[in-house]
Amino acid sequence: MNRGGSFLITPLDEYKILTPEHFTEDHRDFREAVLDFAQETIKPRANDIEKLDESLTRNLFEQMGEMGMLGVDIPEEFGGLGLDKTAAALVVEALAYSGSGSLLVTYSDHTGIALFPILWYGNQAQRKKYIPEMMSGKSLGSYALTEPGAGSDALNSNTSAVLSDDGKYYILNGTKQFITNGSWADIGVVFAKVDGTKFTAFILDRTMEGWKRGPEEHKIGIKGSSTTTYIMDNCKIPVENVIGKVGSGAGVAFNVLYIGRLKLGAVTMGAGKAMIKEALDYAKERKQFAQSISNFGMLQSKFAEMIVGSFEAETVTYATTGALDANIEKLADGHPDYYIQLQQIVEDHAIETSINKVLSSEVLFHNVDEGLQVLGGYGYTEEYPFARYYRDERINRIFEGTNEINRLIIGGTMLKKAIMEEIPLRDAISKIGDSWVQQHENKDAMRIDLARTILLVTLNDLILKYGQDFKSRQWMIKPFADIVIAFQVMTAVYARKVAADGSSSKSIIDDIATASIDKRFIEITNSADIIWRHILCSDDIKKRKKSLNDALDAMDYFPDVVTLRQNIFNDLMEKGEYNFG
Amino acid sequence: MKIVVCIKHVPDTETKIVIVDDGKSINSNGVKYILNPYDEYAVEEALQIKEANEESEVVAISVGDDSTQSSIRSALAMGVDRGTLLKTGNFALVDPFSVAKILAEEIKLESPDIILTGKMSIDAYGSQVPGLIAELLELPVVNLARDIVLSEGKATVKRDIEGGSETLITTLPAVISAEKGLNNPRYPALKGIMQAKKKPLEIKEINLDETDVEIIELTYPKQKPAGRIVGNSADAAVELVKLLRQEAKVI
Repeated sequence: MNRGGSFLITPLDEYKILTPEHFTEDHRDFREAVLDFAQETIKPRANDIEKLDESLTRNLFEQMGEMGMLGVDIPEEFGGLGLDKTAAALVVEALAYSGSGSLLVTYSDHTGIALFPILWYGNQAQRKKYIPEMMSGKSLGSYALTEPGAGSDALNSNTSAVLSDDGKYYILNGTKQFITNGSWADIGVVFAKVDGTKFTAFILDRTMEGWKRGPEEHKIGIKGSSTTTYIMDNCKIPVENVIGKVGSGAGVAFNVLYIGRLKLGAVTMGAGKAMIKEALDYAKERKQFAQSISNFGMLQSKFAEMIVGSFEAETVTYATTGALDANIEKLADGHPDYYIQLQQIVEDHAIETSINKVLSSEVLFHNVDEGLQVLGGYGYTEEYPFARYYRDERINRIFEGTNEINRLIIGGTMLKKAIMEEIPLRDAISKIGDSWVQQHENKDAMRIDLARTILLVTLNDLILKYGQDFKSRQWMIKPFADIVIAFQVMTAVYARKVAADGSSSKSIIDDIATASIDKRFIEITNSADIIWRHILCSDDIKKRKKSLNDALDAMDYFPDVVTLRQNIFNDLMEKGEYNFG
Repeated sequence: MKIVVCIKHVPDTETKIVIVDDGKSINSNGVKYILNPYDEYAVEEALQIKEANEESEVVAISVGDDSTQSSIRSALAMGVDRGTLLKTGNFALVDPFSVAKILAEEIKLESPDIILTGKMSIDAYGSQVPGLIAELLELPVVNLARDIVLSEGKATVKRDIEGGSETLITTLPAVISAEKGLNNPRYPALKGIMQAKKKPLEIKEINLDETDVEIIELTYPKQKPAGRIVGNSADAAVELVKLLRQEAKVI
């Protein structure tokens, strides 16, 4: 099996990923079909969706159900298409071109964290009862974990479940908060503690007494998605609606979040790409000082930066789905532990799924912010959709695990994988000497190898300094997680560049790759410097810096990032939108 | 019931057209091609007829080159059962009468109960093929259908006319061309897209005789003149109305 995190130690020339340049014809056709639906059917209604129009949202869900968009990666026996994670990511990123953050949130919740607890941990009867109606769009799902006092600290739950005297029901009492699809959901996965200790997952459906919804939250954005509390007021849930075993709720709650992050990563990646065209269309038309504002270098650099960010997010997304699919493909269909094995594969890629979520949501943030800036004063008005995009974007860095929680997962999982020898990081560390100079015919590759050395040396420094306690040192985990994210970006972008040989986009992909690797390399050296200065004595800091500077001198590589970005902008002007692969 | 739909592979309206040096054809490089939107109405109508009539078959036929297969696949993805590509060497130079002759020959072999087409293609704007096919096959033709009801071997067709609508009844087989608004064409389901690749698509090579009509020249539309600002006071409104009425003659 291709282990999660293996990008850290796989020699660059052996690191192969799935890239958009190698999508199948089916993949491309799906994307086209979903793009048409997103742009022709959803986009013109985006402002109506914002009015929290339940019947419109349900109507769109039924259409999506008919087209098969609600169950791309769900087995056919439950009404899905039975396709891979790559196809699911392609569909959702194309849907994001609708520009309706609200509908995308409803969709991601329904097809992700609301559905996977039942698919992965439910029994066959539960799957057959609930999943097909969710696939058709006739039932909307929800996932109720958060409580007023239990947000990121989700297990600190006060919701109780007590077995009824006749042993047929669990009686739930408590309040769940910030529940997406709250007032609309027909089905809910809800978590409560049985006998005050055993954290357990249950399936709620409309027929059950005592399931009450609070008023709508007044949110900054995604106003066309429903968010309410759930009040469990002596709510009677039949014992057959317990998911998995009593007491096994933590696994259910957290493991589906990996899938949630993967999907959210793909949504935000697609939305980020869509922003580029919207801002560019404006820039081409808008004239100031008697010329199109797209002639101005500062705006051109913004667009080039947006392209680089989106390219990185796209590359990393499909690197992850491709790795997951390659592993999942090898599982034996029909094996009794099929879903457990599948879940373990996804969990093993916790670093990757967290990187996807953090990277793509931050790229979207950047693209919306800069896109709005391109529109200037008009961007700040409600006449243009950027005001809505600006509000809608914000939630992505908060839900499905805040980006802070995800950085903790990246750092913590790395530490675990190093200590448990899940990937031979220690072996790799032991091979590094005082000289960091390495040879490779490609200078971008040399930089990546140097970045890998910095990453491993810094990880070693952190382990020596803190041991297992590293995982609670958040001041250090933040810069370290940033190094890991930047490193995954560099390796994946390089692998895509190599895989693009023979593609018509080859030369521009080369330029984007060099610009990305350059930027990420600088980030890595900055983050490492912050860590070194905090935990090393000055002699050791000097030693690290000398090794780094010697390696840089030997490399003698100064790519002209301005020219690269000018090329990237010119390519965008020719194509009119983000379009590679 | 067997339904034949005649479809055409056309450049997307949003695509930028570049005329090549010979001045008679367009550069298809980088041009996005789609199933002619009026033909989509015809395909949708055919599928609805099929769904209402057991043991029906829908066949999509197109004259074109290899790239035309993608539009036939689009029709197959929507639900059409099989497709036939009548492949010619240089499709860009084929005139409407030749297309109609090729189509009519193939339709004869299929002997369908009804033949549906779009009212025209959005690239050539010819509107000739439906009528020509009907003539060649000696069948009735009804153009610009907004509503079609089949019963007892006849089709009742509603179509818009100046100031109202008329309802016609025709015997079948007949050629009926679709107007916008006939129905709402479905999006292909993702499953349909996968299945479309496995559906039969027969390719028949067609040897084309000399055509009677040929394209002599293609030109770009005239560039729109720049806008003019009449003024910015209340008086300008009066002046603007005058210009719109007298000069632009739009009100």
